[in-house]
Amino acid sequence: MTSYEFLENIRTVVGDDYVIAHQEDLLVYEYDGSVDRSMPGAVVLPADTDQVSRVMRIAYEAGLTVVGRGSGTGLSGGAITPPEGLQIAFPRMNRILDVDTVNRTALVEPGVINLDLDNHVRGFGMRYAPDPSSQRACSLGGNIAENAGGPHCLAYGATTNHVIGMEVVLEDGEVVHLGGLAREAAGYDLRGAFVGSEGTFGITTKILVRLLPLPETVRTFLGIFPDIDSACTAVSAVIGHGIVPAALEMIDALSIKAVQNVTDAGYPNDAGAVLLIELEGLNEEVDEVSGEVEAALWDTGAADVRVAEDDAERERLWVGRKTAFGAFGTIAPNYYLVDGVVPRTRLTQMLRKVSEVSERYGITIANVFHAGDGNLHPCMLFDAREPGVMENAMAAAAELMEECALLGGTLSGEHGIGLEKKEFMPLVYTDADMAAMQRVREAFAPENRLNPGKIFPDGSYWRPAAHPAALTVGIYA
Amino acid sequence: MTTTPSIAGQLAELIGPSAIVDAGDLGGYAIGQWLPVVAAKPPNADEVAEVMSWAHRTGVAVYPSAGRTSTQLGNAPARPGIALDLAGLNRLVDFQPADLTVSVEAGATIAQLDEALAQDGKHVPIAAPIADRATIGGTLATGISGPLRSAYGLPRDWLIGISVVGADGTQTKAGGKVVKNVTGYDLNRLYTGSLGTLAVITEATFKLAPAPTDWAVILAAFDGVDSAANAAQNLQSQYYAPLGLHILTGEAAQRIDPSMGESALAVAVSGGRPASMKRRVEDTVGLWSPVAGTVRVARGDEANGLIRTLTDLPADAETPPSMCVRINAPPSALPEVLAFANVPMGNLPPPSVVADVGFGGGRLLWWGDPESADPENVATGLRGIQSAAGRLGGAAIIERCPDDAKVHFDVWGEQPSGMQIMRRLKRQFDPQNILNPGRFVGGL
Repeated sequence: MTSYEFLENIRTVVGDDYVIAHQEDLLVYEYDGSVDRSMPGAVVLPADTDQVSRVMRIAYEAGLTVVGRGSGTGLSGGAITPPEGLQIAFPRMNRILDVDTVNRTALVEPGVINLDLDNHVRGFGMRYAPDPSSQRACSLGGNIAENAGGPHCLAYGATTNHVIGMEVVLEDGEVVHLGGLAREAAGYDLRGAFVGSEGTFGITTKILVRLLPLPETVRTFLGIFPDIDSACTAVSAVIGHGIVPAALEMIDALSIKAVQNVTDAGYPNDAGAVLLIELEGLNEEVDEVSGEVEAALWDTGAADVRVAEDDAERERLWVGRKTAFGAFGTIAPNYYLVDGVVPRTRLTQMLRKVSEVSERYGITIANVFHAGDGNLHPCMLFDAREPGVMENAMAAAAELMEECALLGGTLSGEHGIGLEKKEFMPLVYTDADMAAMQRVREAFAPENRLNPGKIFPDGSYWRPAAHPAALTVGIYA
Repeated sequence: MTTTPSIAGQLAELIGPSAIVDAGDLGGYAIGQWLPVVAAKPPNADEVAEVMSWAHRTGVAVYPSAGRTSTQLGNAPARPGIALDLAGLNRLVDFQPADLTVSVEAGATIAQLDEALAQDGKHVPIAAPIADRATIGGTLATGISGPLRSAYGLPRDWLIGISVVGADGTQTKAGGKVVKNVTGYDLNRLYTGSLGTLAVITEATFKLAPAPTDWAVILAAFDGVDSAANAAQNLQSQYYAPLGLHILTGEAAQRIDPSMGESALAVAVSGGRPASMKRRVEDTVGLWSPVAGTVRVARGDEANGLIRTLTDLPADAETPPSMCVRINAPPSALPEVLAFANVPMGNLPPPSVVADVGFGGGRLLWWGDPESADPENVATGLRGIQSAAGRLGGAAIIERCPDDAKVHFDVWGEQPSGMQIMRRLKRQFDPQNILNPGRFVGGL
């Protein structure tokens, strides 16, 4: 099949308007939130499961690689498509199909935006708990691919804890259902294996998510600390006290500065670090735990402890946290983010390493992260136009990942491995460990046509960004 | 296949004669009427790997077990083989209270883990019948869960890392010791509930939660399942909804509280800190009192005893039910699940029902004597339940039934969607089909 025939065939399925194959139109599909970049051969925008299935069948028969793309907010290169690959994007499959208040579930299409779902179901007294910082933009399909997290994962778990069933299309176009309407299904937990498989097992076309009832009370604290060390001690004190808050986030001095540059989140400019702590539950429970949390913060050297007085103030504190990465633009034009995790008691040690690496490499690093579950986000800020700076940042990131592994932690808490971290997998897994993982991929996608070249080291880390994109693009146009 | 003495001899040479169970004790490893030719009880993961490498070389089937509290679960073994007893791997490997993680070997019991964690006020909220015998590895392999699953989730939700020995004897791990991790595929969830058909679990790492310091069980008797269902669903929608909420009928209800004596018993299990517990109990009693016949609150040791009884209903050590069916269904199917209480099955009386209000589904239990019933009739009745559960958007898994009925049907029910992927998974992980052959869904 020539590329012309291929494009004609998929146009027949989805309509002429929904196949993108011209270079200038493909520009917006060549990147995601990571540092990598590659222009796909073509992009198709299907309207329903049947179209996804037919398009994938055609691609399968043509021997093509297929990569799914949600909103392109991913941070590990998961949606980066090789030049000869077909990208499937889901802006047209963005309907909330059903909200079930008895079963506390919602049936959605993969293009539904995370925050849109949450806002919608709040009208029914429920919520969708996973809340990645990109929740205003990221899609549920992408969340499933990456097993996305967010601040409230601390209490409620990541995406995988909130998906009951899925309709997915396999590499050959076959439609299968994983999981079901009940929270437990017979047979291997294919649903559990699929979530977080970074688009290598199949393309999700419908998702049944679990919703949680809204809590009676939410109370949000801002713990203000003179330095990051004391804030880390406070995190250990809270957790060690037997308290697992709904969320427990840390924001360091540089991040506070960046946030306050763009919005007044109410973070004090002179703080060394702040902790954003949220408690939820019954009134009595929150009252009781609040006292213990406040005591733990004061005991570990808090300069001040504030409580959000109302919903507006709480919202303002969270807007600060969730816009931090955008706000880094006021400090430097580019950022590169590490997603390592360490056991919570190793946070202080790890952050000292971050500070040491920052000095040694001469790179500014901001820290805004999920302290409660030990998931760091050291964020390197730089200007990529300066020669050598990108390589320097990558080398610093490598050291940080090595340190996480050394401290008994891992490479990624919520962003996925993708292209970005695949060569680092041997830091945490043996060849045999990875071979076992590859067997699962063999079972879902025997031909390895879906998002190949991601997750596992193959010594051929392709860095499309290193090459001028224009030389390789638009091969179907 | 080689002859019995030589299998015992070969294994004794590999892992030492002391790790070979006396031939006279093989009856303890029975799976229904099936008996292993040899039982090996290696003391550590390396020796488990030796056994599996040997099985890989010889093609002899391996049936892993440890506490042997759930051997009834699954289809009959497809062929002769050895029992691999993991009970020797019973160490608490690494408990980090400040990190809220624990690593434990597969043969450690649930009770053993509970006790160790309780000393620091922590718990892994997983539960299985007969906690002093049921093991961590067995609980993960069967994916079994307790009466608080609606609030706490399933074992897979607490597992953050796992070590296994593969069908060829290779030792691998997945996940790690941190509570949040998307590094590589999620094999934790794949191994959980796979009934030992993909690999042998040797060690598990869990995230922990602070344990409630106070427990209460609120019991209410209703004159029928409909009024019980209404009251329970009302409670489930409150802010103070309990951690577990069940409606019990018949013998199951009698075993929880014979004094309540009516046709449907609603049982709410609440746990938490003292201040909130006062509210939880008072408000629940206030909500139920006007609509229930009798409402009673159990606290302290009595509450803990009731939670144990509730957990053990499907398989208690002394007088287990003769048959047990797990219904997977969404919560909205509560009326249909309760309606099973009125349906006789073949020559058997209608079952007791334990309906899980929050999680959905539940269990059907019989304490009658199924041996007197015709196996084909029993199988027909159980198949009927499987079809009915399928219509509810779920499945019925026959956890316990007479062996001679099992030959007539698949205890896991209709083959689920994605069966072709499951078959490929089995071929990838166990190409010679030596791990627990025949026992899982569709004969996997």
